[in-house]
Amino acid sequence: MPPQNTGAEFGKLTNVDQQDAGEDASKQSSKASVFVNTEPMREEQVQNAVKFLSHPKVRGSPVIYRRNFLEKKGLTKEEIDEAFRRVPDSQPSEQTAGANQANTPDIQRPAQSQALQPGVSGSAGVTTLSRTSSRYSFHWSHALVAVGFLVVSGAGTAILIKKSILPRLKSWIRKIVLEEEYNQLESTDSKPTVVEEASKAAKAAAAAAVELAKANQEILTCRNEEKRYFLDAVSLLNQQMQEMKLMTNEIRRLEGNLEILYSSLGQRISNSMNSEGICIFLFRIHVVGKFIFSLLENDGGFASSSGASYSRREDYQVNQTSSKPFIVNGKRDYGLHSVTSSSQPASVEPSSAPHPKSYMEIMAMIQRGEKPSNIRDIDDSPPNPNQQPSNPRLAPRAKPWEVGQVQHNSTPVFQSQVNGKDLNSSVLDNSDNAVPRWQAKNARIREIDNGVENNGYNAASSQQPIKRTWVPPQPPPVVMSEAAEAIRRPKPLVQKEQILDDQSVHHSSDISDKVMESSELSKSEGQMEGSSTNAVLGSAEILEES
Amino acid sequence: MPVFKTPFNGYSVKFSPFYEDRLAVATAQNFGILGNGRLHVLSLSPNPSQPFTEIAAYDTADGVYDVAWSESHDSLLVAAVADGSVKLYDTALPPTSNPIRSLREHTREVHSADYNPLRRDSFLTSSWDDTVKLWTLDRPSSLRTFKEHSYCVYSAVWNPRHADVFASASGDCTLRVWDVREPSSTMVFPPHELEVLTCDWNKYDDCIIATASVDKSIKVWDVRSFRVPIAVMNGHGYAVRKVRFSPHVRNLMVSCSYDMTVCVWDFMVEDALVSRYDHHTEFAVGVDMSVLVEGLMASTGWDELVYVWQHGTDPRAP
Repeated sequence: MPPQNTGAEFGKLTNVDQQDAGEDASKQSSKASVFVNTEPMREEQVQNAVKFLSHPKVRGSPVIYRRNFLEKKGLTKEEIDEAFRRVPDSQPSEQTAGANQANTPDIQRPAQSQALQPGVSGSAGVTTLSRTSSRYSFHWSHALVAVGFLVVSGAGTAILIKKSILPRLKSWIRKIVLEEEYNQLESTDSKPTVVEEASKAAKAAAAAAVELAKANQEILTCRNEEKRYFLDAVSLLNQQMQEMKLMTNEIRRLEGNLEILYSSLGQRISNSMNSEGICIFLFRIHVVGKFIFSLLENDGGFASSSGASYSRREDYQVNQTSSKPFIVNGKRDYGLHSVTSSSQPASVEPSSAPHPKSYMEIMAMIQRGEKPSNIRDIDDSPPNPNQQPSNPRLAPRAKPWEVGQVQHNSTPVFQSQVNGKDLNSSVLDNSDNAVPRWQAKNARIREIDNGVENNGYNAASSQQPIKRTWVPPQPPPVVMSEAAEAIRRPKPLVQKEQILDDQSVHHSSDISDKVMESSELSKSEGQMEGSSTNAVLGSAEILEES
Repeated sequence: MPVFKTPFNGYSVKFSPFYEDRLAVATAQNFGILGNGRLHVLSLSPNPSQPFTEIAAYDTADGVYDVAWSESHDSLLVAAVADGSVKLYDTALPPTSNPIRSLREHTREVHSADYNPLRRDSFLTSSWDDTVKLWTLDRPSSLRTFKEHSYCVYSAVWNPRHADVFASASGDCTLRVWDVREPSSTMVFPPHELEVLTCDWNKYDDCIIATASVDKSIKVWDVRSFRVPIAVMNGHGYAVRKVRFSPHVRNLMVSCSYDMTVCVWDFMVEDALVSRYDHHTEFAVGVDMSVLVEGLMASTGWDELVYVWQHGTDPRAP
């Protein structure tokens, strides 16, 4: 019995039932259509999608990934479906279109000719023929355009040839003629040139010899210089060697001092750390070892076991964040970003967020195949798979947003607490009178009504004490679960709701003016003035209110 | 403000729609990677020395990723478990009788569960096997399976005003709006360039939906004109794990993120961030606002803590 709030709607309901059903059905469908895309198809997007789907690589991928790609690009379902329709070979209906095309000559795609299905129904044939005819017109116009283009290009090339190549030929011929004349002239001067060439060669040889001599001299000087530099470098290296020796001696002395320090602190620290902490510290110590005295700022030393081993750990890369004291199970070292596997999809998301240290450890353990030790074998199967849930002790409560709105549910509720506003005592009177009326209807409610307590309502909390005023009726147990009905029979569901609506209408059919009044009231947030009228009307009004 | 320490890493927290002082917490061991799980049912008490009492705690073989309270039975809970099963618990029955159902149909981890607030008899579960399933309490098998996403479905939420409409957010970067009476989804659009981790409907405007993603932003959309968002809220440092619209205030919403903060936003205002709470010391992955008590919110995270506080107060204040 969903409440109706607006007077207009109530006016509709007082009319014939069928009209109501029709109107409400259309209202329902119009409401449902809010969640449907109403945009027209965008041709450009569809064509882009067709190009995408026609790509050979895309053809090989599963259909669902193709759809998902297009969805990600923002195409609506209609556009995607249209693109799939336009691209051949992706739907079986497209292959039958190819079968019809095989009969006609000339323009065919070789892929379509492969899929031949002789048994094609008449209607499919008609539709495919229309499609093929559209394709044919496509092809013809394409052919015409291609032919025209070829003709034009042929003419163009012919003209070009005439204009450009012929003059070139002529000039080439002229060149040849001129060269021949020139050669004839030159042949008379051939003999004296031999002598000249010989003299030239001799001069060149002499010059080359001179250059060689110069180069040799330069090489000699360079070598001398190199020798000097080499000697200098050797001496410098010797000096450095000596300095390094001095430094190593110093370092050894300091190391000795540190070991004494660590061993004195190691006992205290190793007791308070777990192995995780020790790991961290071993890493830290390698880095910190370079800055010998900064280690003393931290709150501890290291485990006494690894005396000199830390110096050998040279491959770890650790970001040293700060010198905060290390708290077990508290703030963690976010320096390790090494492991980002994707064994679970959830871990792909935070790949940019720094993971807690032990998260990384657990991932590493699992990658290695180890199981964390704290997992128990738990049998969580239901001891009685047919166990019925216990009866509810409380009736469902209205949501804050449902106050004063139309609902399409069958369990109307009255919200007893609205943002801590006070409830009039008149409401309580109404509820007391209303309850027995509804109680008579359904025995279950009596049970709930008696059981309704201020259970869990803490007066000590900052909220005002709540008093349950009115218990809504439970739907009759005979009614099937609405969800199941909704899925199977959408239309009857609407009518069923209408029947329930009508029932509520009958109860309050004689108080139309009161309802108008209360419908105005319901627009305010659950205020209850003016509802304190007759008890008989009270329940219906409460219905209107909620 | 009370703090509860869970033995395992928190994954989700939900207030009961029946009792103002009751909430359920879903937790998983070892960050939910591998290990057991536990479902806690807690009750708030005014006693400051013991702010929480644990009404019930149920152990599961695998982590519990999400929990949903029944809208028809005040003691029923639906748990989304990482081994693919959906378990029903009844706190009114003795612990030895629980769980009362274990529904095994999903082939991969069940990531979210949501109960229909209007029909009150059916609930949705979404899973990493790319499907969303619709169930009712009285049937041992699902009523319907919605399989259109091509990657994990992280969240499926009912529309609070249309009993048959729900939305699903998936790792394939799309949001789908469904009507259970239709054979396939009625709308699909890509709200983000990266995985969409969560979505929630506005309680006061039935066409407004918020989505949040790995791209650190929260976007609010009107499904009637889904090309351009109504509002884009940036401010989180890392992926946003959950968003919830306030049940009491039209424009208010709360979000939690891997940057360990819980933020409250007003999406109709130019400077949308209303408040930021950084009480968690690990990823904050679960947040909820009570439908019964205005301003009461709860959050949980991988730091194994559950905080319950009133909006405007400090969650860590004693």
